Amino acid sequence: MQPSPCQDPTAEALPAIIVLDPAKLLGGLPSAAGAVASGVKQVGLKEIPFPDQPQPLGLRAA
Amino acid sequence: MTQRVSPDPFLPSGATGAALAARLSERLAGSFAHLREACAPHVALDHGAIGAQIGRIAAASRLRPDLFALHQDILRAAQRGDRGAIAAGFAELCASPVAAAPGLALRGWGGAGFSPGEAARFLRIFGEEDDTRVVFGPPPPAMLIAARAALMEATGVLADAAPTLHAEIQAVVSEIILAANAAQEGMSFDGVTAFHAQGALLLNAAELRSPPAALATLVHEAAHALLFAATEGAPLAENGPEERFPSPLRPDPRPMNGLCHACFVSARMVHALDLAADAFAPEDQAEARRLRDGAWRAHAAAWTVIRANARLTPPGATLLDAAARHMALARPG
Repeated sequence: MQPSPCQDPTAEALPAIIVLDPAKLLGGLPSAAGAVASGVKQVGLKEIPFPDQPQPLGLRAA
Repeated sequence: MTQRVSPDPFLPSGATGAALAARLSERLAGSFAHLREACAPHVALDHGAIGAQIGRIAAASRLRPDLFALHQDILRAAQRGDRGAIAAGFAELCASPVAAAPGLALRGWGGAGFSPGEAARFLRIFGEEDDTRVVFGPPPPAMLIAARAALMEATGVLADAAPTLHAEIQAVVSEIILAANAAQEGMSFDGVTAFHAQGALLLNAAELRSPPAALATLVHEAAHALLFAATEGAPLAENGPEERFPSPLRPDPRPMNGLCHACFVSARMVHALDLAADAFAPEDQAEARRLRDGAWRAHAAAWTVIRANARLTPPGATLLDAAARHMALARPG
């Protein structure tokens, strides 16, 4: 179907501008700070110890 | 911020866990409904199929973690205005099973049970850290078998010795993914829990060397998931992510919210291991007590930093004050 003269045939190729309400979204809008900094992810990252090096506090990281 | 906790906010409760999971189902369904409504003027969508799926999500007592990941994908596509990705995301939503299988599923990273889309989403959600990329790999078969055995024994001990905690974990956590470390040189990981894959715990199979270690790891990561469910992923402290503090559990300074999580989950480990230590086989009991004492010290160290520096949110104060009251009554580690 040909677009009507008042339609912009390139409009579908452009990003849509979609209005979102953060209050209606689980977790709100994603933070630019990233998942860890914004608190939605907890990563137990730790340094690999030498074989004879005890773990800090004798436990796993958080 | 939403907060749903039992009368004692620290003590585990299967009913609280189930209420939190059901609440998340309702909230996720509402969020998908808003995304559909917001995208409808811009993208051709199958509203009937999406609506039916949203109804199933709202009614589910426990959701598959991938639905939270898919929600993030569609949300980010909507932010970009990417019509193709929005349509693809909703199509995948309509084709996805909704309810988590009963019990606690165990899967190996990259195993046959992952659809390609799910594997890509989990890699993105679990693997990307703000300034670091953690790379996971499938565990070698022997490691996977040993980790499964340790976890099976740990969950059996937990069910017998701490049944309310076991019930809470069953309500909040639906699957454990066992992965191997392929992280950057010199670094390893124990576990990752993410609100955007709520209900899944990613654990390093190599760290599950024994039933006490498996129990401690499971309780630790499940407590993160509980906090995410109770707060819908909102921070426990108002301190910004740029403020960093020494952590007893990681080598690098952490945001205050990370310390708050560490403080609560360490207290939960003390609680669990106090109940469960004597239920392990005799040769495992010393390790259980060592892990317990380490967790007590971690809680104490984190709580000291928090009291001096944190601007806790009301739910954060409620949860962490309750944990501190229990730790004050526990035997020092």
